[in-house]
Parts: sequence; structure tokens; C-alpha cells
Amino acid sequence: MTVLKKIAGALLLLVLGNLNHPVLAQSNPLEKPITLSTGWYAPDSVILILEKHFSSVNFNSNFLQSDSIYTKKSVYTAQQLLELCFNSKEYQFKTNKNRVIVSPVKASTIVISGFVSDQQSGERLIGASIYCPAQNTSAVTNSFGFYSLALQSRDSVQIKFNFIGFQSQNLRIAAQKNLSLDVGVQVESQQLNEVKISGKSLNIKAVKMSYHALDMTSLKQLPQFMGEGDVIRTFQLIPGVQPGNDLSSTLHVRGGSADQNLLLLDDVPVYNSSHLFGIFSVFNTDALKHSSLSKGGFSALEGGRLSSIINLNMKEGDLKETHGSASISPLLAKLTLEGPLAKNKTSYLIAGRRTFMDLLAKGFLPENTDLGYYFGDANVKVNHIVNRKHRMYASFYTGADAFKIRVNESDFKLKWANYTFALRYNHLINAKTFGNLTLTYSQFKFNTGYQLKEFGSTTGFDYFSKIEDYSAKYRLEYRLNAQHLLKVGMNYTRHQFTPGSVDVNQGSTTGNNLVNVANLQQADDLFYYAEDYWKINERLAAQAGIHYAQYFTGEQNYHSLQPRLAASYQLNHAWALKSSFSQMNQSVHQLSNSGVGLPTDLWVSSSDRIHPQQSNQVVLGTAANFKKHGLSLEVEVYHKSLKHLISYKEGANFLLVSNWENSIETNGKGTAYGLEILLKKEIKKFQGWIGYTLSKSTRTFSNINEGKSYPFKYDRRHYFTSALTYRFSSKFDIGANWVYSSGQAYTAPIDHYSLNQPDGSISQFIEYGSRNGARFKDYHRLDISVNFNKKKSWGSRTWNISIYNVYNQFNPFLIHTENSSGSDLTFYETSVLPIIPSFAYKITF
Amino acid sequence: MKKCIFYTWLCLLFISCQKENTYTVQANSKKLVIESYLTAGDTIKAFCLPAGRHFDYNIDFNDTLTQLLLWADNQIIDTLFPTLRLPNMVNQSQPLYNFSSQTVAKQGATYRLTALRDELVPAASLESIPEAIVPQVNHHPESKKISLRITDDASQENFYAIQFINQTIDEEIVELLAYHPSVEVLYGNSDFIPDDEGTSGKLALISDRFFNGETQTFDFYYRPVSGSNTPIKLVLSALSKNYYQYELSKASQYSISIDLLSEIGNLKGNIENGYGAFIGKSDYNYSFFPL
Repeated sequence: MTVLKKIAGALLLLVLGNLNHPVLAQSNPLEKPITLSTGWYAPDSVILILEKHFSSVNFNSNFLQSDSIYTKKSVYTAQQLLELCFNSKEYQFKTNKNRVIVSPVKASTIVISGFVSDQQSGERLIGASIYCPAQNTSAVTNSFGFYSLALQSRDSVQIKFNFIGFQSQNLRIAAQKNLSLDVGVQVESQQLNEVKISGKSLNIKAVKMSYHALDMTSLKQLPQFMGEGDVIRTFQLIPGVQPGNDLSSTLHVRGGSADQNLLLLDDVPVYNSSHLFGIFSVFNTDALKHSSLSKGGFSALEGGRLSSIINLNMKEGDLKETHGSASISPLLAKLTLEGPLAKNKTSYLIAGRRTFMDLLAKGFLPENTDLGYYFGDANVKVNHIVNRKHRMYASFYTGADAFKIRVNESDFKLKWANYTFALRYNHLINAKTFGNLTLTYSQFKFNTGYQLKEFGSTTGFDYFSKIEDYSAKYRLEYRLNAQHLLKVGMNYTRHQFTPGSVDVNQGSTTGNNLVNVANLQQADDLFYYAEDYWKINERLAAQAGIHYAQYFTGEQNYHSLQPRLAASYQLNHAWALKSSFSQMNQSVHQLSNSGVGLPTDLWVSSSDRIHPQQSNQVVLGTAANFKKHGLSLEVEVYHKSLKHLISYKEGANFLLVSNWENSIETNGKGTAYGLEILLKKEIKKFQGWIGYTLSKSTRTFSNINEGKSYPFKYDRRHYFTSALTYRFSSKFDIGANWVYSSGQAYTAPIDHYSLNQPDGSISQFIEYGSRNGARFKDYHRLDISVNFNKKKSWGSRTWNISIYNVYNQFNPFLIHTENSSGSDLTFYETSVLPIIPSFAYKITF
Repeated sequence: MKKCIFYTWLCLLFISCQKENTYTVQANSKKLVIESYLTAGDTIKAFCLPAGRHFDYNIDFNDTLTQLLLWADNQIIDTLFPTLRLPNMVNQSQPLYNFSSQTVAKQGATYRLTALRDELVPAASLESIPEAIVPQVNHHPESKKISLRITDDASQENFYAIQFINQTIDEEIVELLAYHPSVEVLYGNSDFIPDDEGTSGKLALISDRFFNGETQTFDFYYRPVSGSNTPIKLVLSALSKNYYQYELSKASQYSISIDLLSEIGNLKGNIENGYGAFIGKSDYNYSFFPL
């Protein structure tokens, strides 16, 4: 047998050695001679010629040479023509059943890594895309502007850097060994008048789904309420994200409650996001660089809330030159300054805003009277580059609302405030490994009180609630190879809750009657995670991770192992299918009477009786990119189940919750499912999106609504939004939002009757129908705004004119009844925000 | 300039103020409301009137159209008759919606009440009166504390209520303070603030779900009228489940009426085709002097 094998081998060698013979060459289909006239050809027209000789030529369109081909002779072999169309060193050609298959030559993997930044200011860019067309490989910068891209080694490759609002940067680089490559991209302002399609086709390649990043520039072109742009109100225009009501800056994401959103400002949780009882959010858009919202398909890095993770990143400050902006509107004044403390080394950002009508009103109030309301906030950030591999950031935020009314000796006050602080340290360990350490502090405090001074004594009360977080987190990103990007990390948080304390002063003349009901509770929140992004092949990619959380409170210790899975399959250059599953746990809860995020809502911890809330969410979807029309489309269906929800008992009052655990219902369940469609237009002059949501969300508590399932308060069957801007020129742009939604659910009174009260009096009682069984009438509203921009020698100025609720639609805010004299029930339907024109004047320098 | 900005701002504020639509819906419930507290050893009384009605003292004083029947063992044992309560103010009488019977409620007995009135849906309810419970009582006058040691019957679900009553003519309810986490204190009053996590109010309710079949000691602090040594009566009531649920929800209604932000809800009654409750209890009384 061995001898026979050797003879066969020799014969094979003989045959292969004579393959150059023209007759024998015909046995290799790629040596087939092909006749064509001499001249210039586009590569794809050469492919068409080849396809006449073969049943098909299979290749990725990105592999094709971009330059035209010149044919000097009239007869080429198929192999030679393929080498002209593709880079012969990078690709190999095979035939199978008369089909030609073009595939990349296998080579060693190298890693290109670095930072992407704004060339003008040095500010690092979050979410910039890095793409190698020839190898169909991409990466996205993380929250510190860092990327790592694994490639097959080649003599040279072309890499594209894209970021919204910036010029695309194309670089051809030698790719033979690991390379550090920091890239600066330029703002696209010179091309404002061009109608150009942005090169943003990555949404179909990314595994991540149910994710939306907001471009802060576009946000400023959208209509502004009372002259003030708001990132949270803009998120309310995204499918699946719904507002509480007109006065609310809360978010209800995919049927979730307001407390199920984790708002992170530079990685620090912000517990109350509202100013002016919810009309504005606490985030000053002038201080923000980037914002994103994730409502499903969560990464293993994320956790702690059931419904969404909202990341807001403050600007780092210009490393090269000092500049700033100032604006004034009928409501508030703002000032932002940024610049280098040491050029190209250390930068700062300071941004502040404050309402001023309380100051103006002072002169109009009678003597012995003080009445005022204000809100204000300040953002400060310092960014220091130690060297290319080490960078530090310190950021601080404080914001407060205060209302006071003093008439003679009677004094009432209401205050709430947030404080956050973050210290972050980046370390580029090597080309493949990036680390970040973050230390944070967050506090939210609510305080209300009343004092009456008379006859030499003081009576009154002082109520406050507070939550504080001390946190440390570490994260590592490691580019293993072209197929795998690993992320691991841990997070420790110490929570301190004071969910309702009352100091009562019953009169200083009768002795020391100051009584304190402090109820401090502490909890330790720890989680670890590991996640792998796995590019399985050219079309299929997956992200698998595990999030292990522990929560220690009192003698109770809760554990949870939360899987996170996502996958994407690219059908062709335009369409992709996506799916994800995520389990999330939430150990801190907000007790809300109103569900609209009032500062009176209490943050409380899980305990022996109250388990952490849990959700399981499945999402299926498709993403498509129609480059020719500058359109992208995302369609997703989701199903989310919730358990261990809590709610106030009927009649519970936040001021009387000295033992709040007795005031709540536990072990509630919820279900939410729906369909979301988002169509985006990305042509430069005409931008924006339209969104539609069809959804249903219910809750079930054994002691509410007789144990029957009932609609969630903010369950809206249909929700349509459009947010469009059109830039006529660099001097003039216009924006419009239109919102239409099914009416909000409410519990309707159906009858009333009289009964004895415990004190012997007779009172009226109202009988309500099933919980949230009735609906307000449908909601719709149009807002428009116009910006007039003008360049000046010192910078530029902008006049913004906005009209909220243009056609003055009467949208119900609440419905209530009052006792009437007869047997009928009288309903009062109240609307709070009719047509509101406003303006703002802004200068940038 | 300052004035100009201020008035501009005021104008904007006025434009933005709330707008209200009003509409009326006819209440056509055709239901009766009954409230009857059965206390073992007392005659059975009830309060009954049509729903959707407000008192009109001129009309209601002469309203005798409702018929209330008391049943036991599927037989009518009594007909409740309207009673006129003493006027509590000069020239003002209570309406005729109070009814009395001559039947004395018994521990362990089951009663059914039916109410009929022309053009309204007949209402009915069934209720059993629980057996009284006898606790061990310790009075600590120096700390104004009463300790109750209750041995719970494991064979059934039990509910209890505790109340302190000043035994004067007015029988004023004395505010109490409890520290036990399983005690729900209702009708809290902010002027009796405890010095730690206790809760204060006028009525304490206990469910045995936390100590079913076990013996448990509950401490209650009372607050007598300063300086007076009139006798105080401690009433420990064994409640039916209907009674317990009704009292809890009635207290919620009280909170709802004073707090706009409270979660709304209905009274949890046990009247078929009607509103209100027909609920029973058996009392254990213990009198003492606070000083």
C-alpha cells in the first residue's frame, strides 16, 4: 500500500508540475482565457464580464479596489482579472462548481489602538466609529474616546474614522505590527451648506440594540421649552421612551417606572433629575458632550436598574484655547467657560445656570414678606493628561431647587438638591488593554419645613429624606484578537438611606421638645462582570456576558447571576437581524405617590421583606441602512416581565412614613411588551426622526385592584413622535416636534356615598372603578423653534424663538372630582401648559 | 429694564397658568350603603342610605323608605327600625338613616342583613362574630404603658384591634403609641410624635400572620389628658377578617381625603350589590386609672 501511495503522489506532482501548459491549464477554471478590449474599466464592470464565464463571483463589496483598472492586452486569465480587481496579496481566489469565491488571505492579527478626539479642542469623542472596509472590521470608541481594532496584517489598509457632526477621516496606514494611532477629526462646520449623506452605516453592524445616542448639536436645533434645551425631554421623543406628563422630566422606558432608569453623569448616579418640580431636568446641555440611552440588550457592564441606563458625559474642556458661551431666556441665565489650564495638558470646564425671577421679584413684595423660587446648578470638570497612557478627570455637579414663603413670623420652605463627584483615572496598559478606575460620591436630599414664631416660642416641623452613595469601580478592556474583545470589572457602592426623618419643635418655652425620628439604613452593593464581544464570522457577531450582583442589607444578603446575551446577523450590506436577552436586578427603590418624580418621592433599600426588583427582557429586531436616501430604520419588538415591584399602600402619605415598610405593598408583578419603529433621516440639511410605539404595560399586586392585573399608569397604546430640523443656511435653521399618544390611564370615580367617620361626623366617600381603567383623551402637541445665527468678530450669536404647544391643544394633566350638591359627579379636567412662546439669546466666544 | 423683564415674565406666567374643563356624569348606581358594626353583647344597629346622595336634612329627616331585615339560620329574626338620634346641635337633627334592632349580637353567631328600597338594588351581607380573646394585662403607670400578652389560636386566622377610651361622658379616644412592627396604627396624629420608630394614632390593628399560633407580647403607650385621672378603658377586640380589612381601608380613605398625592382606593366592604360593611367583633375590656 505504501508503495502505491508513493507512485500516486509522484503522478500528482507530475500533473501539477505541468499545469503551466496551456492545454492542461484549462483544468483550472481560473486559467480560463477571457477576451476584452483594452481601456479603462471600473472594477465592478470587470466582475460583470467574469460573471459571464462563471455562474457567479462571490465577494464582499468592501474588498473591491476603488480605483479604475486599465487593461493593456485583449486576453487575460480569470485569475489575472481577479488580481486586478482585488489586492492579490490580501485575497485568494477559489472555484467551487463554477462559482468564484474571493476571500481574504489568512495572516497574523495586529491591533491598532488609540484615541479619537476633536482636532480643534482636543476633546475625546465618545461613540466615534472606526472602520476598515477591506476587512469589514469595525470598532467604536468607549466613554473615554479609546478604541482598539484588530486587523489581519497587511502592507497597508485604509481606515475610516466617523463621528456625527465631524468630517470623516480616511487614513491609509501600514498594518504589519501593533500600532498606536491617535486621530483628531475636524468639525464639519465648513460644509454646512452641502447636502451630504453621513457615513453612518454602523448601526446594522453593531451587536448593540435598543440603544440611542443623542447628538448634542442637533438637540440645540430642536424646539426648546421656555428657551432651554433639555436632554431628558429629547429622550422622551424616542420610541419606547415616554414622559410622565406635561410637567414631568421623568422617563418611562418600555413600561417601566421612573425609578427604573439609572442616570449616570460621568459615571455617578443622579437620584433626582428634576428642576422646577419636573419641568426641567438637572442636566445643563451646555456642559454635556455626549448622552446615550440604553433600553434593552444591556451590556454586562450595566446594572442596578430594570428599564434603562442613561449615560451623560460632561465636556472635558478645551485643551487648546479658552472660549465659552452665555445665554439668557425669560426663565434663566447661563454661563459656560472652558479652556486650558496648561496647554495640551490640563483643561477645565465651568458651567452654571440660575433662574433669576426671585431676585427681580424682591423689590415688589410687601414688607415682612418673602416669596421666592429658584433653581440653579453648576458643573465643574478638570481633565489632566499625565502622558499618552495616563489621564485623570475630576468632575463635580451640584444643583438645587428652593421655594420659600415667609409672611410675618410664619415661614415655609421646600428644598431639594443633588451633589455628585467623580474622580476617574484612565490607564492605557498596552495597545490591547485599557483600564479605568473611578471613585464617586452622590447625594440627593429633600427638605421641607414650617416654623411659626409667636409669643416668644417657635413651633413647627422639619422633614428631610436623603440618599448617599460612595462608590469605587474598576474596568478593563482587552482586545484578545480580531474576533474577541473582552471586558471585565467590578463595582462597589455603599448606600446610605434616610427615607424620612422629622424634627418637630413644639415650642421652646415648654422645654426641649425637639424630637428626632432618624431612620438611617446602610447597604453594600457589589457587582462583578465579564463580557466578550465575539465576531463569529463576516455576518454573525455576538456579545455574551454575565453580571453577578450581591446586595448586603442588615442581615439579609441577596445574590443574583444576571445573564446578558445579544447577537447580530448581517443579511446584506443594508439589513441586519438582531436579538438580545437581559436579566436585570434593582436593589434600590423609589416610593412614589405620584409617579412623576417629585422630590417628595423616597428612595429606599431592599430589606428582609422587600426583595430586589427583577426583570427579564427579550428583544428581537432589525436594522437597515438606506445610504442613498440617507435613511436608517430600526424595528424592534420586546417583551419584559417584572417582579418584586413595590408600591405605596392605598392612602399612604410620605410625611407619615416613619415606618415606611408598613406603608407599602410588595411582591408586585408587571408585564410590558410592544413594537417600536424608528426611521431616521441623516442628510445634513434635513435631519431628524419619526418614531412609533405600540405597547402595553400592566401591574399586579395582591392587595390592589382586588388582586387583578391593571394598566400601568403610563401605559399608552400608541405613541408617535417626530423630531425634525432643517438647516436653510448657517444663519437660519428651524426645528419642529410633534407628539401624539393615547390618553394616560387613570382611576375614574364612578359613584359616591356617605358614611360615619371615626370621629362621629358624616363624610363623603368616592367609589372608584378599576385601577387605571379609564383614559384621558388622546394627547397631541406641536412645538416649533427657529434659530437665527450670526457670526461676529468675537464669535457668534444666536436668537432662538420657540413656541410650545403651537395650536394650544388642551391636553389633560389631571382629572379630579369635587362633591356636588346633587346625585351627579362633576369632573374637573385640568390642563397646565397651553401655548407658550419663549425666546433665548445666546453668544459664543 | 428690571421692571420690563419682570412684567414680561409675569405675562408669560399668566399665559402658562392652568386651564380647566368641567363636565358632569350622572351617578346611576342604584346601590344602597350599609354600615353596621356588630359587637357581641350589644344590640345590632345599622346605618343605611342610598348611594349617590348627599344629606338634605329637610328630606332625609322624614325618609323611611328603606327596609332592613336581620336573618339567622335562614330565617328572619328581626326587622330593624329607624331611630332618631338626639340632636347634637340646637335646631339640627341627625337624619333617619340609623336603624336599630332588639337582637343582641352573640359571639360565634352568624347573621345576615338584607336591605330593600324601591327602585334600588337589594343589598345583603353575611357575617360571623368571632370569639373574644382574654389577654394577660400588665399596667405600668410610671411609663404609661400597657403590656398585652396574647396567645393566638393556630386553628384559624385571627385579627385584633386595640383602643384606649377615656371613660368620661364623651368617651373620647385616647391616642396610643406602639412599637411592634406587626401593629398597624391608624388615624395617626402628628402632634404625638414618638422618640424613635414607633407609630401613634387612635386605633391599633394586629393581624396574626406574624405570630400565628404563638404567644406574643405587645406594649402600648397611652397619652392621657394632662393632669386628669379619669378612668381609661382598654378595649381589645377580636375582629373578623372583614372588619380588619374594612378598618384598614377606611383609614386609607381618611388619608386620601387629606393628601392629594395619596394612592387612591376603595373601601373594602362586604356588602353584596352595595357599599359599606356588616362586620363583627367581640370585646375584652380592661379599665384602669392612668395616675
